[in-house]
Formats: sequence, C-alpha cells, structure tokens
Amino acid sequence: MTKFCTPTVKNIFITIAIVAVATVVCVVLQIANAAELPIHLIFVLAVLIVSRLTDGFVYGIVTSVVAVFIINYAFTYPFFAFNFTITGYPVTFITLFVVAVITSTLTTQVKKQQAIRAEAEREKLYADLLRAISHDLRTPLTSIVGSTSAMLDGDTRFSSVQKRELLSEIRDDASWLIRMVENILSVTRIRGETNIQKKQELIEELVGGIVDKFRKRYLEAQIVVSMPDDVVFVPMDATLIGQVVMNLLENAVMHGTGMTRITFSVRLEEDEAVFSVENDGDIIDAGILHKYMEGGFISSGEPQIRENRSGLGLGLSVCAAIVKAHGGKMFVHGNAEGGVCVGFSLLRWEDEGDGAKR
Amino acid sequence: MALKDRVLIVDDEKSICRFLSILLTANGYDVVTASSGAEAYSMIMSCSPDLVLLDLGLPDMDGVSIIESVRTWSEMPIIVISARMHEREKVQALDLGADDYITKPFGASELMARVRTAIRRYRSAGVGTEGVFTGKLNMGDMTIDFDKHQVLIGGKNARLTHNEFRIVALLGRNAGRVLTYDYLLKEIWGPAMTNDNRILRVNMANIRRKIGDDPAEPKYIFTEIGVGYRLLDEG
Repeated sequence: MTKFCTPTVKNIFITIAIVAVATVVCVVLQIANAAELPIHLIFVLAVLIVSRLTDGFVYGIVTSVVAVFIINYAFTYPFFAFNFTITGYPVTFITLFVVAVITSTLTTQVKKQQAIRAEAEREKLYADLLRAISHDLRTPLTSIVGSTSAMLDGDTRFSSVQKRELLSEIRDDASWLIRMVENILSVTRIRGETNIQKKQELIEELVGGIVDKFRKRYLEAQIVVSMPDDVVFVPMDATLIGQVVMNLLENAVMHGTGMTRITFSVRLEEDEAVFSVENDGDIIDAGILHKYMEGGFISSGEPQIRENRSGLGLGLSVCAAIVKAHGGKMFVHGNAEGGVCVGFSLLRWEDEGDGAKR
Repeated sequence: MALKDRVLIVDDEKSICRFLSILLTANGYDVVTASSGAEAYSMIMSCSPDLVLLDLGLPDMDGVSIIESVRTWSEMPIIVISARMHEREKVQALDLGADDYITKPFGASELMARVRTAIRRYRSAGVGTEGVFTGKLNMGDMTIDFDKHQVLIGGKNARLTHNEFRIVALLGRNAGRVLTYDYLLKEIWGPAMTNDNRILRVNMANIRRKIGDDPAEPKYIFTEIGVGYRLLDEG
C-alpha cells in the first residue's frame, strides 16, 4: 500500500481530507444552529493544517481558494449560490491566502533544517567511526608488522615453539582485523532502515549456523545453548543478525576475564524474540557498555577501559546500529552470580508495508 | 609416482593467488593460475584442470558467467571463493552449477578438505547420480535406504513423510555439498514453488525433530545461513 503512496498522492489526499472535515464540521454547526458561527475561523484552521502537513506552497494556496468558494457558496447568505459582492469578502480571501503562504514557508524551512541536522548527525557518526577504527586497528597491525619483521630479519634465533607462538599471535591479530573490517562494512551497508532486507528466518537454523561457526573458531570455549522447541520464524537480515550474535559471543570470550562458560539463549515473548549471551567472567561496568550502545562509536583506546582488549567498543556499537536498524532493542545487565549478560530483542512480526516479502 | 591432480586458481589478487598455490603445491597438487576471466577461459581449455578455485570478483568479467559457460560442456568441479556478505552471489553461483563455496577468510585445512571432497565426488560420479539412486547410505547412526524410502536412526524407522524423505535423499545423494533453498524447492515441489522457502524450512525442522538432530549441535544436517543445507560427508 505504501508503495503506491507517492508524495503527490499523499499531499492531495491530505488536502481533500482536511477540507472535507472542515466542511462537515461547518455543516454540523450550521445544523446545530449555533448563532454567529466561526465558519471563517474553521477554514483558517483548515488552511493552516494543510500548509503544515503538505510539501510546498501549492496545496495551501489551493485550499485557501477552495475555502473561499465553499464559504461563499454554502455558508453565507444567499445559501447555495455564489455572491461575490458581500462586504468583507476580499478580506476573507486575503487572510486565508496569507495564512497559507506564511505557514508553507515556515514548514519548508523546518523541513530543510531537519535535513541539515540529520546530515550533520550522519557526518558525526562517520567521523566517530573513523576515529574508533584508526585507533583500534593500529594495535594489531603494529604487532603483526613487528613479529613478522623480527622473524624475517634473521638477527634473532627463535626456537620452533617461539615461532609457533608468534605465528599464532599473528593469525589471531589478522583474523581480528578481518572481523572488524566486516563490522565496518556492515555499518556502511545499513545507512537507514530502508536498506535492510528482512526475510523470515527460522530461529533454530540461525542459532545452529552461528554456534557451529563459533565452535569451529573457539575450540576450547564452553557454550550452552537454549532455544524454544517450537518452529519459530522471525523477520531479519540473517547475515547481519548473525554478525551481531557472533560479536556478542566473541566479546563474551575475549573480554570476560576468568570466564569458564557462555550461555546463549533465545526466548520468546508475545511480540518479541529475545536473544541473550551471558558469561560467568568478571563484571564489566554496565555503564561503559551502555555508552557504547547509545553513544555511537567510541574507541576502546579511551582510558576508562584500556585494560580490556581493544575492539569491544567498535564491535558493540556496530551491534547496536544493526539491531536499531531492525527496529529492535539492545540491553545489558550484570548477572546475579557474576558475569555479564548482553542481548537484544527483535520484533516477531513484520510491520505492515515495505519489506514484507513472503 | 601417481599423476598429480591439477588445480586452476582464478583470482586477481596476487597475494591470495600466491598463498593458495604454495598451499596446494605443498599438498601435492599441480597448480596453474589465472588472474582474469579471459585468462581463466583459455587455461580451462588448454590445461584441463581437475578442479577450479574461482574468485567471483574478477576485473574483466563476472565469475558467475565462467561457471555458466563451463557447465555447458563440462562437469569439472568448481569451488567458488567469495567474500562474506555476498550471499546472493554465492547462491547464484551454486544454482548455476558450482560444486561448493568457501568464504574468505578460510583456514588451510578447511580449504584442503573441500578440494579433496570435490575431486572425489567428481570421480565417483557418473553412476546413479542422474537416474534412480539405489542401495543404502550410512552416516553415523543414520541410514538412508533408497529402495524402501526410509531413513533409519540407530536401526529404527524415523517415519519421515514422503516429501521429508525426498529432501533427505536428495541431500544424501549430494552428501558434503551445499544444496541451495531454491534447488531443493524446485526438486521437491516443482518449479512453481520458488518464492517461499518457508515450507522447505518447516519440513526441515520436522525432519530434524524426527531424526533427533539438535539444531544447535547438528550431527547430520548443517545449515548454511542464507544459502541452504549440507548433509554431513563421511569421507
């Protein structure tokens, strides 16, 4: 339905509807026979509303012209006939016309300003993202260049154990870099909710697919999975949501000092599917995590959390951006028996309109 | 010494080409490389490789069109190398006849396993793949009995419905290979059923429950998110 609703059609529809409502109100008042009816005022109001809700000047001006004719024809003596000789008629017309023009001008200005503000916000988001990236990517790159050149130089004799250690360090850094780059790519992909293509995904397949990947990457991690027994579909972009879950699982492993076990659960509420990842490691200040989720991109190089490994901030802000673009919510809280629980909820039903591809 | 299998690597990025050829040579393969689509064509014609590793993002043409044209005259195994986030491309490549795909970044052992499986499957093909598949297929506790149209778990009939059996049988005939949603839908429900893969996934959920496969820890049927399903390969 929304697809056929071009702006022009929408504007015409609004105009007709409001003029009709105003006319009906006047008719009702007339029938109720309230003496000294404020017919003019009601139409001034109608012109004001039309000018505010439509784009440009045309609709407001058309409304003011139409309003003049309606008032003249239906609501002034002689009823149901045009008579343009009534005194005060030009005043009515000019009043309505001026109201229409002024309101339309203001509305256009407000809309322009909103666009400018949105643009500025996007600029800030990208600047923050860039800052976070450069900061967080420098560390692993430095260590890769350092270890490889040490091995190539040949000045130092490394034992085979040491070589292995260095190589696995390099591999870890490099795979971390790849994941971060993928995160960044996802963010550029979701510049607005419109760019997300939701499809019905089966929860158990999503969970199975991600957990399988996670187990292959972190062979030693203990992960417990719980999800509903029912066959449940939730509309989402599976690749992006998969990435969110993967980020959360990786965070639980990498930033959960002293962690022994991860629990990944999906539970159903009336309108939402709630995904949560918890570990039993040290508690991370929930305030910092909140800040990541709400305040755009913050580099983990900032002092308050420098003791943690880098990348937490970027990863979490990407998660928050993806979930938000899905119309979902992220949450974080400490566990009763220690550890951190981070998760998000997604709507189980598609909103009416776009993207509801069956 | 036995004749080496020849692998053609098609990738325009030098570093990946070099890494792949070192890896494959070390594993006893004969390696040829191509860095563009046109070069790939002439290599495929002149060197008759036993397997092609194909990156879809080539400078001069869409990698998918190479698959399309090779498939008109040869069934040689093709493994597609693709970046993440390009699900649609991957699915398209598989639907056009690529044997398998591997997502960057991949581990060396993962790649070598895929290469071995693809070559082995190609060698053992020719009998029964197109016509009626007969006999039994065992993998772990599961037995697919193609003659009786049954799937047995630990010797017990899992009581699959007709369509459920056909899905498992199709995956079984292609064990180790990803079958896309569209391919499965067309094979089982016919060409009219292409838009809604919900019915397939509901059937798959039922199959999982009947054969006792925990979706979070599958033993037999693996989900490739956004692409399709893969049945465990015993080999």
